[in-house]
Parts: sequence; C-alpha cells; structure tokens
Amino acid sequence: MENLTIQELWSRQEAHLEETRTFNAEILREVKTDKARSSLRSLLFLPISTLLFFVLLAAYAAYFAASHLDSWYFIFSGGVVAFFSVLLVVSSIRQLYWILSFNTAAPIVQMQKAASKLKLAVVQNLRIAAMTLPFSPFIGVFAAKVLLGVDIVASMAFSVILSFGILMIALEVVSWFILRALRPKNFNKPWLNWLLQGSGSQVDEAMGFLGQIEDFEQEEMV
Amino acid sequence: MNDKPDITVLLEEHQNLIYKVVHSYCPDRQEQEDLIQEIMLQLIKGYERFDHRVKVTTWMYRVAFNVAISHYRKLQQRRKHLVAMPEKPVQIAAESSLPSDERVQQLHTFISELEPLNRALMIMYLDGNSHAEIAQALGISVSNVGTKIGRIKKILKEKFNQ
Repeated sequence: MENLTIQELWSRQEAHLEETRTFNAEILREVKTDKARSSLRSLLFLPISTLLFFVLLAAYAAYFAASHLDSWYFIFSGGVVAFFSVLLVVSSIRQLYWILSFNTAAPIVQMQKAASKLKLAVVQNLRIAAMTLPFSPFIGVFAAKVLLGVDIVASMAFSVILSFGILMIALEVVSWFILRALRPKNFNKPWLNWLLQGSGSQVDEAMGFLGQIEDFEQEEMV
Repeated sequence: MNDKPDITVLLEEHQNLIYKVVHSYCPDRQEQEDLIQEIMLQLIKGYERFDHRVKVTTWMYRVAFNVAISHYRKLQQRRKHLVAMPEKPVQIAAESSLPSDERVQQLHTFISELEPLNRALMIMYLDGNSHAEIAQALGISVSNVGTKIGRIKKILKEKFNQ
C-alpha cells in the first residue's frame, strides 16, 4: 500500500472523529486547575516528610557520635545511623527533583523517562533498607540510648555480645541475598512484590518501559 | 500587551489533534472522555509557561502524548490485575467509535499495535508534521525520526498486504 493511501485513510479517520465529538469551549473556560495541583501536592508529601525526618536524624546521630567519643560502639552506632540517614536524604532529594521537574510539556522521551525513574525510587529505598540490616544491632544500641537512656552494651554479658556478632554475620548474608534479589527479572514475583509494598508490578512495568525508551532513543541504521 | 491567543481558541482549533491522540491510546469511550479532559487541563495549566520556543502544535502534541502515554501505562497495569470474565454479562449496543471503512479500521488497529513511542511518532507523521517537529516533540534526533518512519511504514505496508 502506498504511503499516500495510508495518509488518506488517516485523514478519513480524522474527519470521522470530528463528527463524533462535541467541543464546548464555554465549559472549558470554567475548568479549575485545582485537581492537577492537589495531585502534585500528594505526590510531594512522602519525599518531603522523609527528607525532613532523615535530615534531623542524620544531624542528631552525628551529634550523638560526637558527644560519645569515649565509647567506640556509640561512635559507630551514631555514625551508622547518620550514614544511612544521609543516603535516604539523597534518595528523597532525587525523588523530589524528578517530581518537581515533572513537566508534561517536556519532550516525550524525557518526561516518560522521569516518570519511570520515579516508579523505581521504591527499589532504591529498599536497597538502602537491605544495606542497613547487618548494622541493625548498632541501630538498636543507638535507639536504646536515645529513647530509653540505656547503655545496653555495658549491661550485656560477653556471650550476648558474641551472639550479636553472629547475628550481624547472618544478617550480612540476608542483606546480600536481598540485594541480589532486587534485579529486574524478579520484580514481578509475589514475594518481591510484597517487599516492595505491592509496587512490584509497577516497578516491573517501569523497568520494561525504560528499556523501550532506551531502544527508541538509539539511532537506527537504514 | 499579551499577544498570545486564548487557550480555548487554540483548543478549539486543534481539537482533532487531541481526539486522535486519545483515540489511539485509549479504546474505551468513557475513559476517552476522562483522558480528553485531563489533556485539556494540562494544556490550560501549562499554557502560561509556554514560551513559543517550539510551534504551538508541537507543544500540544508533547502534552497530549505525555498524558496519554502515562494514562495508557496505568491502564495496562490495571488490566494485568483484572480477572477475565468468561462472557460479557451485558452487551451494550454503543455507537461505533470507528468509521465503517474496513481499511481505516485496519490502519487504526495497526497503529494501536505499535509500541507507545513509535505510535506517537507515526501519528505525528501521518498528521503531516515535519521530521524536525517530530524530533522536537519526542526528544530524539531528526535522522532517527527518518529511519524509524521508514521502518514503521514498511511494517504497516506488510501488514496491509497480508
């Protein structure tokens, strides 16, 4: 079929569409943009609240470490909490950047890429959570001191400290498995979908579409 | 003085652009109405920031395609989670949204079968936009647009000849 014919057919469809639609400019003048604004506001709430919380936590954990220079495990606990808080701050800033640069007037490839990356943010947060696992005993030491004012290490027997050491090694293995499992081919599996708070299929779709976009962007040879 | 034309005038003038985009990404009539409204909302909202660095129709295509593709992606996700019904419990004799010409229907089907970004490219091409305008709307190079159009046209011709 000649190209001209394809374009003729397309024009015929256009004429038909015009017949079947009614356009009411009066109603359009009354359209309020509140709906669009409120949807953006709800999208911003989570990264902004995460950002504020972890900025405060990072600052406090750094202060905590600096004010317990006589105890290596408090310095380390504070350092671990501050480090992972900073990672989550960076992740939230990146999410905020994607949301705020969300512009439907941007070139299609660019905007759809940003939308896909936003859907993948949940994976980044899960990776950070997995990385914290081996350090959870130290996070516990930090939490007990800050929330209850108790130095749990000082009151522990050597055997308990040893078992915490073994626990850390076990959690290291769990963390390694989770980080390995967070691969594109697994995103649609039920257990990972559960870990991703039901966003597994969305993440899977976003990964698939990012792949399509990358293929589309590539120059083709004639 | 603001010499920008009123957005409602632009929407009225280019309403078919929106209809075609919506029709190509959303087969359901009720969903189509929602999608048209969402596109119009985004166009009205974004018009104040529109700086005329690209043609007004290129800007309209960008907004329409971005909203339609995002909607299409959500719809595809929702469909994955729907349980298929053995038979339609109710048959609704709605007015056909397609012209009766079989070949026009075929063209619509073939276009709908393209991946979302290739579909956007082809719709703009069939609407008579230049390669440069298509490249601006999509954010890819002009040469890439040319080769992709050639490839998709070949696929469409093969499908018509089958």
